[in-house]
Formats: sequence, C-alpha cells, structure tokens
Amino acid sequence: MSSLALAPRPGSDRPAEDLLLRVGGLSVEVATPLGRIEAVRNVSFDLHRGEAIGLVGESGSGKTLTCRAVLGVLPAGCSIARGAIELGGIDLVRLGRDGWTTIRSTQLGAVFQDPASYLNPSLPVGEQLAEVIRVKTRSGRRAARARALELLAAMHLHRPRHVYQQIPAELSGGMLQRVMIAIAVACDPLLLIADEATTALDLTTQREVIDLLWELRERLGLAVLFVSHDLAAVAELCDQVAVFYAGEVVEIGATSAVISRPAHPYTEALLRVGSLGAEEHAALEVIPGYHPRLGEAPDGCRFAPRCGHRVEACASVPPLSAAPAGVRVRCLRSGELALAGAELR
Amino acid sequence: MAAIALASRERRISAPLRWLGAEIVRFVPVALLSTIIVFGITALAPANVAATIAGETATPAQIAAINHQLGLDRSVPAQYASWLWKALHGNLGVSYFTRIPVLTSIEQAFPVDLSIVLGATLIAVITGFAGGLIAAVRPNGLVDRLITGLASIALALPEFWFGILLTIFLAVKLRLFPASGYVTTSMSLEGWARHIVLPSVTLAAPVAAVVARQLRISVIKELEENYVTGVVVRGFSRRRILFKHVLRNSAAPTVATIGLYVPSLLGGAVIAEIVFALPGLGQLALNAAQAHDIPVIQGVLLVTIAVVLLSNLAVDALLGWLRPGVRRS
Amino acid sequence: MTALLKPLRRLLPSVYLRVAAAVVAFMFAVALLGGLIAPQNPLAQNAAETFAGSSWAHPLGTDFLGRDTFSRLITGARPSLLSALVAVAIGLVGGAIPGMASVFLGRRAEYLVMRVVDAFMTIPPIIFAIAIIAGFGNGLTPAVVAIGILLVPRFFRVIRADTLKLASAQYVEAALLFGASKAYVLRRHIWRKVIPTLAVTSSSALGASVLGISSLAFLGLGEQPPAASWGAMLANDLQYLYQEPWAAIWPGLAIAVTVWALNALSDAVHTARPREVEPADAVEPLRAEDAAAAERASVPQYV
Repeated sequence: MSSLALAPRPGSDRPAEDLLLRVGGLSVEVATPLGRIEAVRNVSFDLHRGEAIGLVGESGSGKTLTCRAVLGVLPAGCSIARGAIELGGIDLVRLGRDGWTTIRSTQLGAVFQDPASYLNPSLPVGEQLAEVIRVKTRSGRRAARARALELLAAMHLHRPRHVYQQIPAELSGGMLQRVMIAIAVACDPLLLIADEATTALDLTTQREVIDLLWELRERLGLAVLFVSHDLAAVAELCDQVAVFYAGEVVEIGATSAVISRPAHPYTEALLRVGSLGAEEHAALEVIPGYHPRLGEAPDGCRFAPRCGHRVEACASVPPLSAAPAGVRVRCLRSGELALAGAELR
Repeated sequence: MAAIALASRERRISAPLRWLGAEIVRFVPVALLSTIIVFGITALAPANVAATIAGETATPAQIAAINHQLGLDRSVPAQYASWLWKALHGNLGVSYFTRIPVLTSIEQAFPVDLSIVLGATLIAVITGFAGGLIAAVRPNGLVDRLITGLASIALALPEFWFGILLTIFLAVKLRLFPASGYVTTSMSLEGWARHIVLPSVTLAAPVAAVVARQLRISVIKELEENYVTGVVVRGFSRRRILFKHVLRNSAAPTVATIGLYVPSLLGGAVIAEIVFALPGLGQLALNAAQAHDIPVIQGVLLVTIAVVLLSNLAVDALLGWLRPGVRRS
Repeated sequence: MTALLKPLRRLLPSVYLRVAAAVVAFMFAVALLGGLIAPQNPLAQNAAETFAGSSWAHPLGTDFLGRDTFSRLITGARPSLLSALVAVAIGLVGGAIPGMASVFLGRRAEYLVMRVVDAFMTIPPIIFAIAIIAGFGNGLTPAVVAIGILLVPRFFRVIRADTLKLASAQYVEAALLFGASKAYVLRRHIWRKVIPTLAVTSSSALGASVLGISSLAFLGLGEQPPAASWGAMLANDLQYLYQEPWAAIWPGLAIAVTVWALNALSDAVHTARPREVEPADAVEPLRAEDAAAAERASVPQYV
C-alpha cells in the first residue's frame, strides 16, 4: 500500500451526464465441490460517460469477478446468477458471441495486471496493436501500422519504431502496460476497464500510468472502471469509489466524500492501513482477523467478526442505506459512528 | 542512442547465420557418430563376404585375393576413413553381387520412399492438427473422447496389419485404389498418385495420432494462459484467436514431435513396401541383407541418416521461427 | 488380499484401465502357457483341410497348410511377447543406468554421451535391425538385440530428464556438499523416485517392442518358420490374401489389442505416479503432460 501524499486532481468532483454503464443487483456464482457459492452478491453501481469509478477491496472481495463479468470473461465455473449489466443500453448478460465480438475494442477496452502475460509472447507488440486496428477498423496494413506508431508515441513511449518490433519479453513492465493501454484504446472505446493495472508496477511507473490514464480521460472522454486494492491509486484517479468486502459493496460514493468522511468501519480501517492522509504511523497497521474465503462469509453483516463497532443487531444483513454527501453504505450503525477520514493533501 | 541502434541491427542481420553455424556445430558430431555406427555394424559382423562371393569351392588363396580386392585386409580405421571419404564424394561403392553402383540403385529406389513418406507426413499433419485442435477446444467432451480413443487405437495398430486391412477393404472389395505396385511420376502422375495413397495412409496413422495427442495437450495448456484472455478481450473472431495466436504458440512441441517420428516413418516405409509391393529402399535393403551385400546396406543406412538429419535441421528452423522468444534469448 | 487390491484400485481408477490390465495379464498368461492350452497341435499340417472356415474343431479356420489358426494364434503369443520382454530388458539396463549416471558426469563426457545417443536416434529401428541381420545372420537373437539396442536411447533420455529434475533438488545439493558420493546419492535419493517413470517407459516400450518384433517377423526377419509368431502369421496371410482375406484379421488383432493395453497401462501409471517427479520437457512424445492436462478441465469456454 502506498503512502504517497496524493494531491486531488482539479475538477475530480465534476458531474457527468449520459449513463454509460449500469450494473444492477449483480450476483456471480462459482461452482465448487461444495456446490454453487455466491462470490459477488447484489452489486450495483452506475457509471456515466467520462467518469471514473474505482472498485477497491482485498483479494477475494469480488471486485475482480465483477470486472470480469462486465467484460464477459468470467473464468470457467463462474456465471452470472442474477442481475443486469447494461453498456450504453446493450444487455451484456445475455449477449451472444457475435455481440461480444462487435463491442469489444470498439465500445469496451481492457488492461490487466502483469501486462507481459496478457500479450501474445511470440508476436511483436507493435504488430499486436496494428492487428487490433486493422481488424476492427478495417484499415490496410500500412495505415494500421502508421496509426499504431502514432498511438505508441501518444502513450509517451520513446522510440516507437523500436518498441514496435519488440516481443513482450524484451520490454519492461511499464512499457508493456502502455502498450496494453494503447491496444485497449486504439479503436476509441467509451469505457476502459483496468483490472489491477498498476499493482505489478513500481511506484514511479504507477504514477506514470495513472497520469496517462488521467490524460486519456481528459483527451478522449474515456470512462474508466479501475479495480485495485490500492485506495491511494483509486483516490488519485477516480470520481467515484465502491468499497468491496466479501463479495458485497459496503460503501459507494464520490471519492472525496468517502475518503474524507467514511461511512463504513471497513473503509475507515482501509484508510488507516493505507496510511492515507497526514498522520505518520510508527507501526504497521493491520485489520485484525482475515478476509473470509469463499463460502466462509457469515450470515448477516459480513464484516462484523472483524468490526470494532459490532452489536447484536449486526447479525442481520444490513441493506444499502443513504449516508451524507450522496454516499450509500451497508452498515446499520453508520449514522451513529464517528469514523476517522483522511484528508488528501 | 546510435550505438544501441547499430548493435540491434547488427544482431538481426547475423542472427540466421549464427543460428546456422550453431546448428552445424551440433549436427556434425552426431552425423559423424552415426557413420561410425553404420560402419561399425558391418565391420563387427562375422559374415565373411569374400568367402560368400568366392563360392563353396574356393581356395584360401582365392578368398585372400578377393579380400585384398575389396580392401578388407586393411585396418578398420583405415577402411572407415576411405569409405567415408568416398561416400562424401558420392561414391557409395558397388554391390558385391549385382555389380551395380550402389548410388544408382539408391537413386532409383529413393523416390518411392520419398513419395510415401512425404505423403504420409502431409496426411498426418493435416488430420493430426485438425483432430488435436477440435479435441482441445472442448476437452473431455464427446468429440474429444472420440478423437483420443481413435488416436489410442491408431498407435496400437501394427502398420503391416493396417496396410493389409486397407488393401482388403479399399482395394480388393471396393476397388478404389490399386492393391500394389508403383508408378513413377514420369510415367503417369495420376497413376503415381493413386498408387501412393494407401501406403501413405498406412504410414500416416500412428504419426497422426501422436500429432493429435500432442497438439491437444499443448492447446489445452495454451488456452489457460492469460494472453488468451487478453486476445479475447480485443474482440477477435474465434478463428483468428485459435489460428493466429493460440496455434502458433502451441505448435512448437508438436512440430518437435513430428521431427522425432521421421525415423519411424522411414522404418515404416520398409513395411509399406512389402505390403504394397513398392520397389523402394526397403526392398533393396532386405535383398541385400539376405546376401550380406554390405555396400548396399551401408548405402541405405547413410541415405536414411542423411534424410533424418536434414529433417531435424528443418524442424529446428521451423521451431526457431515459431518461438522467436526462445531464439533471441 | 484387500491390501493388494487397494493400490491396484488407485492405479486403475476406471473400467477402461482395468480392462487394459486384464488384457495384458491375459496375454502374458497365454504366452506362458502356450502349447499347453492350444486345442490342436499348431504344427500339424493337414493337406485336406486347407483354408477351412469356422468349425468346432477349428474356431478360426485353417491356414494354407491346413494348420489350425486358433492354436497357432495361441502359441504365437510366446515368441511375440517374451522376445519383446527381452528387448525391453536390454533397453532398460542399457539406457536407464547410463541415463541416471550421465547427470553426474563431467561436461565433456556428458556431451559425448548425449551425441552418441542422438546418433542412435537417427537410425530407424527396422533398418537398423536389417543391417544387424545382414551382418550377423538371420534369427531371433539378432532381431531382439537390434530392437533392444534402439530402445536404449528412449530409456536414456527419459530417465536422464527425470534424474536432472531430481538432482536439482536442494536435499541432493546438500548431500553432495556434505561429502556424499554421487553413487550414494543415486542409490539413496534418486533411484526409488525414478521407478514410476521406469514403469511408464517400460510399458510403452513393451508395446513398441511387440510392434517392432512382429514387424520384423512380417518381413521374414527374426523368428524363423515353422515357429509362428503373430507377425510371421501375417506374412503368410499376405501371400494368401485373395484366397482367405479374413484370416489376416486375427494375428493383427492380437497384436493391436496387446499393444493398446500396454499403452493404456503406461498412461495409467503415468497419471497415478507421485507428483514429486514432474513430467519431462514437452518435447518427449507420447507422455508429455498428458494426464495432467487432461485433468485440468478448467478451460475458459468463451473462446
């Protein structure tokens, strides 16, 4: 977790108009030897054009599965049990193979963690980029190559011609991530999904990639779905944030509101652990206990076993309720608790 | 900056040459050892050729004379050296019995084997790749189990039996193809084609099975890799994903496997020749074996080894192209 | 009794594999009992009854000399199978031990041994056998020795690959650092772990040998008449194909079924063996990651 003192971007609370992505009551089930288990439960959020939302949580919290569901690449054994996903009006849950082929790259782009493993290891990266352009925009070879070089330069890659010819093994993580971003935005999609895009990079490179994503948002009006366990990175880039725990959304709202005044104890704990804000900590902060594994989540409030504020009533499932500043939270006691927030410097 | 650019360009130009150099360094010792083995078999053999040639009533003096004539009274290393030297210059000697130059006999017989081995390779690659790919896309499904089962059977079939069965059903009963014999391309292209179909299919069966099995494994493994997700997310058609990306990366072990089966294809060709009465190297060698006709045996062995080594070279080149990462590192 | 059955049950989890094991056991039983269980004398010729069809006396008919096909099939098992066993024994001893030892040789010796093995692998087994027979005369021994010699590279490579993986384990390194001799390390740590791989390779090598020796018999090399091996029976059947096409089915079927069962057993041992030994590199044909990949059914279905 980074302890970067991050300055908020100007205008990060700006409102947006058209609704681009709507996720409503999404539940994803996983097939296990013990039966089908809900790994994602009743997740809902809206994303407008040009907006950025961050999905934050620990490993196993369901944020990655949610993101994969939106992309239509759920792993074997996982399926959408309930709920709706709509991208610009298109129903993604019932979309067939042809439909997916049409919207991928043109409406929807994706980048992942560990870019080296997500690129074809034996083809030069430039050719992979040119391939997307050629196939999706029906350009000729030369035109596609030219456009690819342009894109590589736009990603701030030095010597684009040289990079074009390299295979993934010959490039660094940061460069490969830029190439992946280039491939994802090559055909001007409306939404970019970044699944732990900065996690495997060193701090300096993380910063550069986040800067790049910000630039793309501004220049292309790109909406971003940013999945990460790093709250600091999310705070840096996103207008909205959704905090995941054990497959549920426990808090969702504007980033500045959630961070300055968290409504859920887990969010407060995450802020403390991530050393966000001005305080310096002498010792390593941890949240006692551990994140429940699949199928181990208790009935009722799933965070209750680790929560310092739990009461008897927490044995029942708390619904998403309203909190100040447009935030929604899944905690019965949220109104009464005074949770410590962080201030983004 | 310029220095770096220069170095990388330099690397690219001399890479193929460097590869060739490395290949030669690897192959020459093996080739040399193979020739030693070939010569060793015949040198260690107790059969006394001179006595056989001279006949039953020969005197020791006559036998000694023939020995000297054939150069068999020199030391073994000397014989080996002179034999190898001559062979490298295209002189494979003369048959002890028919007096025909070995090279001539081989030149006549070799195209037969070449035809059926190439035909078999083509059939094996096409059916094997198709079968392996289809089986891999839906693993453990009905089609997969069918293909895997067929492959197991094909690997257990004795080639001579399979050839006989093919003859019974396709040549004798259905009269689709000739049961035996060979026609050179110069005589009739259609005749040649019809005569090599059954032998080629016979030879192809086990190789197709191995190719299918190996490809299936490789593709299944490859489909689990992250980059497949990466390529899927770019919105390509299934065909493009499979052929342009997955197959290219999974083909390498399969290509290597095919290379390993070239010797068994050549050995199988001998059997096919007997089943289908083809006048190839196998028949040549079998007749020579009965008569202890050493030069012919040596010639056949040398040609066989040369074919195997050349195919190994071709396979290595193909592997290098398929896996640039491995080559460049 | 049940103690014996349990490891067998684990080794052969499916009906398919149990059938294979039963077939192998059956074939070897027939090979051992040989002439004792044949209903007729396989060598008895009867000029009056050539090419007879099925009957109670001759369930599979008779051949061109009036000999009972069924009895010849039964007595044909022994030369076909036992000679294959000898060939595999040659290959195992000649290949496995040098294979293990080669890992501990010095650089130059290792290079030389590898090149020698490569050289042997360039020669097709059948042609090699023809050459051996050309030099040493026709007969079962040269044939078996030839096949055996060319099994050596197969064993060598597989065992060597295994030993390489095992020898790189840290406890081996530690043992060597503590002053253990290489021979000791081989005996104590590596030998036992190599046995499953040996079993896998032996079984498939046995299948290959049966095919090889019967192929040679078909060509007239190896077993000499009147002794009948299945390959030799097929050679005769080829000659008389037009008179009696169906006779060719039986010996070939016997070979095919035996080889199939041996291969299936080989697969079974490969799947069941302790996971500590990783499969050899993917270039090794027939065995590479076969069972392991088949287990993993979690292939994304959206491709």
